[in-house]
Amino acid sequence: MGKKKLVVLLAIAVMLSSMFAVQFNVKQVQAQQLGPASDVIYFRQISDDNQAMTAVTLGGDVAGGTDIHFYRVPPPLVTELLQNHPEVGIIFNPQGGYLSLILNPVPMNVTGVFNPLEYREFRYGLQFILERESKIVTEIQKGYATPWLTPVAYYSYDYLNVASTVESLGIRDDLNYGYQLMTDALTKAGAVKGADGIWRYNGVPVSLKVFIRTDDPVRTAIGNDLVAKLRNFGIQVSTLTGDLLAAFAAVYGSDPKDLMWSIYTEGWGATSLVKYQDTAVYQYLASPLGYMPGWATPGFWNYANSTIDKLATDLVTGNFTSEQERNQILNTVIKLGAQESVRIFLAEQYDAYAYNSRRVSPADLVNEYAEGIANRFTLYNIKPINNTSAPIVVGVKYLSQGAANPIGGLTDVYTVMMYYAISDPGIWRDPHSGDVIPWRENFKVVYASPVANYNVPADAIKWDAIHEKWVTVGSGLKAKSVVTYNFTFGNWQDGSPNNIYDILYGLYFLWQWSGNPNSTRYSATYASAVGPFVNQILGVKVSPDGKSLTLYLNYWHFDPNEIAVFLDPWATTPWQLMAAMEQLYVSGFGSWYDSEAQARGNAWLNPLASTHAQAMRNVLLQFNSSNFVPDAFTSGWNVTGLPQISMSEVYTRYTDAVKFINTYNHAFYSNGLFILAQYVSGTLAKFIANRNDPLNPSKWQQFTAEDRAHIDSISYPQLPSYVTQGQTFTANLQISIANIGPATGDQIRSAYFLYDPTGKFIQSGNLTYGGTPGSFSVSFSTAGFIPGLYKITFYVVSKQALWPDVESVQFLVKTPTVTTTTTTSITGSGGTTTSITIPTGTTTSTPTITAPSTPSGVDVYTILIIVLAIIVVAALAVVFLRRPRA
Amino acid sequence: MGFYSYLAVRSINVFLVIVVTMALTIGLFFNAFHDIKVQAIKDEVRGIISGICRTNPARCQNQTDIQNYANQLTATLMHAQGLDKPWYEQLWPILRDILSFNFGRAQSLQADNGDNTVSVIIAERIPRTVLLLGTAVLLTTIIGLVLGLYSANKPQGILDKTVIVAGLTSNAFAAWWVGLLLQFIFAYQLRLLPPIGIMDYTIPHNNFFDVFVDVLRHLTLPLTSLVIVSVGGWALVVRNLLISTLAEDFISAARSKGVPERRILFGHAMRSAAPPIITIVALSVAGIFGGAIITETVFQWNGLGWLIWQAIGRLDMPVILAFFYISTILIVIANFIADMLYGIFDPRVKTG
Repeated sequence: MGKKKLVVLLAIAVMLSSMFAVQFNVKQVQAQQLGPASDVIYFRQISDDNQAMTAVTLGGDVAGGTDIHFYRVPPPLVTELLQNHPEVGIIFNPQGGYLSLILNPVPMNVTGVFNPLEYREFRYGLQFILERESKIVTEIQKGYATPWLTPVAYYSYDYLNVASTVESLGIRDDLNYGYQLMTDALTKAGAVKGADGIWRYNGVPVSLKVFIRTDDPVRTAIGNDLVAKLRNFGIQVSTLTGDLLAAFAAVYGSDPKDLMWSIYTEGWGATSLVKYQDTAVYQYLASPLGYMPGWATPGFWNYANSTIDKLATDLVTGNFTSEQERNQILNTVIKLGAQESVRIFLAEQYDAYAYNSRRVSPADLVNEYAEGIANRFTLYNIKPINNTSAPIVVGVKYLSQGAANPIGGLTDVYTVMMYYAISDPGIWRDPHSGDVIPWRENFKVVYASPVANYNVPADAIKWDAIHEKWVTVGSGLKAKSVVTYNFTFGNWQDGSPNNIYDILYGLYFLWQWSGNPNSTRYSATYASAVGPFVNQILGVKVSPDGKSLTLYLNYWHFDPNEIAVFLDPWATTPWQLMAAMEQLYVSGFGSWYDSEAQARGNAWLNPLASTHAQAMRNVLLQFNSSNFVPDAFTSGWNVTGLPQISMSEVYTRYTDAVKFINTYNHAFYSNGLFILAQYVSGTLAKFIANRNDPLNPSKWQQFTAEDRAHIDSISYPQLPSYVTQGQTFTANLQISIANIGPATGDQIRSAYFLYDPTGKFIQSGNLTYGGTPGSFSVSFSTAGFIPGLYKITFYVVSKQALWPDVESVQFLVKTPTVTTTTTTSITGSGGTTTSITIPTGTTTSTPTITAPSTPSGVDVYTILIIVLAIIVVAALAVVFLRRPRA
Repeated sequence: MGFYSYLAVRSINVFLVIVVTMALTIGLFFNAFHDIKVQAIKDEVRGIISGICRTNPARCQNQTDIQNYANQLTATLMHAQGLDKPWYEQLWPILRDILSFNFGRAQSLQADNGDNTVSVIIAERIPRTVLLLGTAVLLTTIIGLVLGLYSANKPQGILDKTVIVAGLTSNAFAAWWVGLLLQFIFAYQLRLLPPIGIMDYTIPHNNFFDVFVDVLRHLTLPLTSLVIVSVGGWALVVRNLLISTLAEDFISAARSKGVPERRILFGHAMRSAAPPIITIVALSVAGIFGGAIITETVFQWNGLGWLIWQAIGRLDMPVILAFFYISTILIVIANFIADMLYGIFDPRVKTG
């Protein structure tokens, strides 16, 4: 019996352990599954914002519902959703969009008409009357915005590099001060304010035309407020209203000297997060890119400040020798731009994004600090909460609003979102810090110097667009930077191999299509787009095993990662598709760019479109039957040092591409985590997981956490305590980083800004790390300080997540008093300070998600029902109260 | 004039009306078309110049040189599209193309298959609009006829009064409001029907029946909203037309002969009132291709109405022009057919 018991026990133990082992193994297998978290994701187009929000409340498992919407919630709906729909979660993105004004400063000696905007002081005065904090942020944007004073965004890595300059500008809400500046400017210019309050120049009323974008209620409100203030000041203002198309005609399409507009309300969307704001500064302040009045259009009057242009160009081309020099240039440009005030920056808007919390966990969503949750990482991580079979449904405003060719297409954010789903980049950026991160390629910056000192090997190669072949660069070239990329190849989604031939084909394309205007393989638009970059590549060298490539560049940046990302050679389109599209361009079927297609009178090449995909398929079949090998793989190939591409691979490429097009009826594929399995234009796109992607899921899972810094507490002399003039003010802060714990000095960047009792900025500095994790302090002498209430603002941001925490406190500075032995009657225990907690002002802190109370009122449906009832009663009365026929 | 002569004269009339209407439309919008195309070329040139300045700033130092280059490039591109010709030389080719249904390429819109040829885009949308609005017109006509007929047969009766009240009320409704209300109730609250679209592409359709049922489900709400706003008014029109007809002597005679009531209504009264009814129906059919813009937009029904909404929003002039042309043709042809049918049903108006 004992033996039997033992055997039974053993058998049970074996069974249990094997079950456990199976469970464990299954979990292991599940953990190692490659590809994204969801097997299937749908994009459903819902263009109406109200319908889109209603769809989110339903959830993607209900007909017509969605799990998340990849477009911002209209501000009026945010509160309504938070209050009335507990099943809907909201995530805020602090850099959703930007608002600004562009001014037309064309001088009177050009037009013959007095233009107050010609005068810098007048323009600068406008900065103060706009009341960013009280009017735009608080009243118009309901708190869902931050004041924006310069091109460097508040939520950007560069902000702390320019903060002192920005603060020292002293731009604030001060209507009277602004009016005073404007008055002084006009008086100096010779204008006179009459008894009727109207400004006149030579007896003619001073007038301005303000173009207000009426398709955006926020800009409408800003424009109307500005108009009211200008009229109040005594300027005659006429308003022009319209949408983007009207703006194209009146503003962007007109010569500033025609004075069809004076002020225009601009709005900008945020693209992906970048660390350094050089390009933004260049775009917003310098004239060459065509964003300043005149729009770089030959024949128009063009605004230009040569100093700003030169400095901004230096910034964007890396014409500096150190980080300090770069920051100095940046600060100078910022200051000059503010003084010029041709473009006046108003606010950074918060965008709200909605998701259904019954279906989706916020822990699976990645909030990229520019694109919001509509980014590739969210697509990679998102999955239904309880792993039901109902797949994730993502609502999108549009599936696509343009073409999807990789050269001149992908111009709208909707098509780009689909491209994110299907493609793996070589290098990408951390969604929270903007840091460059390797994705399908690792890189090493072998050499970097502001001075070109590195001898480029004579056997480095480049494509000669004139002779249409690969050539060696020869000796004598010197590079500023050298970067080696090591690729993680795999397969394209059509099954064909992804390898070094795709990389080299991309480089051939870059040189060929921009290099020889006499060739059929040349696009002027493409040449102008890539011109600034292609000249920076001195040559390339491929490793014999074809797994890495070295770039020799005439470009330098103090941050080596920015050198690596400057010209990432990774290919996201297989060469066989590129070759087919090239053939379609040359044959006149289509063009790369929309404007090019308009000018050439043909189609904008779009691999997403079935007719274009069929055309590409026909070309590929033709290539296959004629044994065509692109000259990018034959002409001068021996200098690459690589083996010739085999014909079997060539055939495989063509046939696999044809098979894919036959299966899916489009040619929009790449090497990424999702395959576009179904596309119904204007309605739906279905993506299925690509389990053959070689990347480990941990690569994108890490971004679901935001390691933001937080000021946990501030200890300082709170009222009624005070600091005696001449004494040292000290504040001790406890700072932590989410998901990490108390912060150390190297984990955060910090600053404080001090304002005197008049609100004037007087000094800034850094927080001092106390040596113990979490403890930081600020100390400074108050010698020379005038008595009064001072404000100090602490700005703390972690290096891993660029969303700062900002807290402001106030402290009192008093003149020294002579102590006496007389007892004075004071409240509280004598001589000791009672600590009274006074709420700290948070002028620029991150907004909490609390919904303000909505005014009570009658909704639209109720009104319409009342109207309907009145009509029915009236009709009944008419009918039933008629006298019957005799 | 004999009937066939009349037919020939009317046909020529129809053709002339179409030609003159389109010529006037093109003439009125010619400047707009021209400016839009020229602006597109200027944008292209500006982009090229901007790129040159970025690539090689030295080239842009000499403003005269770069200006000359820009002018030359602009002239070349304009010449390629014939935009440099005088307006009277451009007008005829445009008119000729349009009359032959060659509308060129859309500026930004595309068909589902990616083709941006305007005729392809429109041809793709027409069946969807016909399905929605054709069904709506059919249902409205049938229901309206029946209701109008029975209410005219018993004036001041319960049905008659109900039809009057319902007719006046529904006529006052805005189609978009009814659509939104139906969406709110049946799609979002009761979750019985899908809110938008033509089909649900997330569910598999194994056979034609699946497709049929799915499309029918998606069709229900927009169709219902269109019928609700139209049927009341239509019933009132029929009622008013028939009320006097039913009071005629020949109807009394038929009744006294013992003809079944149903035959009296549908065989005698209806036939007598047919000409104006058919005229109205014929004109409604023409209205199909006006596309119920608002209804299609509310329900994201991918037909002609939504197409013209998108085209207006994007100022896609070739599509707008093509839409106007087709609408003009259909209205003119519908009038023509109505004329012919009137002549067939009412011998008194066959000849002038």
